[in-house]
This record gives sequence, structure tokens and C-alpha cells, in this order.
Amino acid sequence: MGQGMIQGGWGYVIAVYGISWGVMLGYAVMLLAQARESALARALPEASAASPASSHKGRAP
Amino acid sequence: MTSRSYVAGAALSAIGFALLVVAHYLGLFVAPREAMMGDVGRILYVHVPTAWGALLFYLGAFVAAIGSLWSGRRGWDAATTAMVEVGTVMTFLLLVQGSLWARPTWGTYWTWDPRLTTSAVLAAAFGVVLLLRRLIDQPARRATATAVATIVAFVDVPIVYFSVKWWNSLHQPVSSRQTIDSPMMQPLLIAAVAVLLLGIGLSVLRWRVELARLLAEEAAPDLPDAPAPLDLSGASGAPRG
Repeated sequence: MGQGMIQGGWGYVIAVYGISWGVMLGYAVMLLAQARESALARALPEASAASPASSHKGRAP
Repeated sequence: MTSRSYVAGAALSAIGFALLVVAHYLGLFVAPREAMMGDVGRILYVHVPTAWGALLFYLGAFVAAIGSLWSGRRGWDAATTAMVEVGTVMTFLLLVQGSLWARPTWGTYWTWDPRLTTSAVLAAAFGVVLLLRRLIDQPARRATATAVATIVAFVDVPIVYFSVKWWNSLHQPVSSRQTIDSPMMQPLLIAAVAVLLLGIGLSVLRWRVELARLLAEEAAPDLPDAPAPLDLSGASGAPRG
């Protein structure tokens, strides 16, 4: 049985690290955006229900 | 559900990514070349922690599924979905990483080895859980179906883990401290902690999104039944035939 070492292969290494980082970062950014959106969607009706006057701040009379 | 879960999820994910940078720097530039695999062995600093993470999050999903069936609470249902999704993302990554590692070491991207086959079945089984969830509209039925399907799919997790022990496999056996030198163990352990924290952070964010969706669904007013279709057969007055 040979005792040689595989030579090269950096292309595969770079592909694995690149794909893994790309997928995980992309998934994290997507979830952060969705979680932020869901927080805003919940915050708006809660704010208007808790303080109806404050929800009209900044609007023209 | 407050913004605390958002901050916690984002913070854990950020710490996970930061640790992953350290682990991958050590794995790529500091750790020695593997005796037989050479530089291709550096793929294992990504591949092995991803595999551990996937199995761990499926275990979490299994526990949450039991909690969902037991209590019927939305939080457990959302937690099941979140961890199934995070585990499935990791499993698909695992299969891609493994294929790219197998090409220079085994000479092929894919072979129907027991570890590879059971891992592919795992990805497909939990993919079906996510698909099933999209197909059922009624919340209680959907939660029950998700939990039962998760428990059934989880049966494959120990099979994946023990496949290299039970069958004659081309895949390496389970690694341990005795089989890995310390300069290689360090980036591997840091990457494992990083993937764990990252996975928890992403699961918290996904749980939050799912829970918000379930609450919005519950708060939405029930629509009235659709009116019966108008019977126009006798309205035109024009006899048929």
C-alpha cells in the first residue's frame, strides 16, 4: 500500500470554504431581515394600541 | 416575544461567525498538512463541525417535536421548524462539502457508501418535513404533522452516526482525541463551538420569524365562507339543445 500524500487540491479547499461561508452568511442575512420585519410588524399595532396619540406624531394636523 | 430574542439571535450568530473566522484561519494557515490527504485535509475543519452541528440540531428538533406534541404550544412548534430548517441547511452543506472532499481523495464526487447514503436520506427526510409544513393550512394539524414527521425522520440520525461502525464503509470512522493530533484538534474544536453558537443564533432568529407568522395567522380574522355559485342555468331563458 502506498504511503504518498495527495498533492495540491487547494481548488477544492477554496470551493468548500467559499460555498460554506456564502450559504451560512446568506442564510443569516435573510433570517436577520425576516426577524427584523416581523418585529416591526408586531411593534406597529402594539404601539398604536398602547398610545393612540403618539402614533400620530409627525403627521400634519 | 420581544426584541431580546432578535438581539440574542443576532449576537450569537455574530460570535459564531467571529469564532469561525479564527477556526478557519487556524485550519487553513496554521494547522499542519494531513499526512495522507495533504492540504485537502483542511476541508475537514469545515466538514466535521458541520456534520456534528446538523446531527445536534436534529436532536434539538426531535426534543422540540416531543414538546410540541405533548403541550400543543406554538413555541415548541416554531422551535421544531427552526431547528429542522437549520439542520437541513447544514446537511445540504455537509453533502456538498463531502462531495468536494471525496473527489481528490476517493476519486469520485459520490458513491453509495452507507454513510453517504444515510446522510442523503437524512437531508431528504427533513426536506419532506419542511415541505409537508407548507402544504397544510390548518395550524393544529400542521403542528401535529410537523412533530410526527420530525420524530420519524429523526430515526435516521443514529443510523447516520453509527453507519461507519455497523457497515463496512469507505468513510472514515468516528474521530476522537486519540486519532487527531492537538494542532489539528484546536481548529476543529473552535469550529465546532462556532457552528454550535451560529446554529443556536440562527435557530433563535428562525424561531422568532416562525412564531410571528403563527401569531399573525391566529390574529387574522376568519374569512366568511365563499358564497354559493350563482345558478344561471335558467336565467338566460334560452333553452339548451
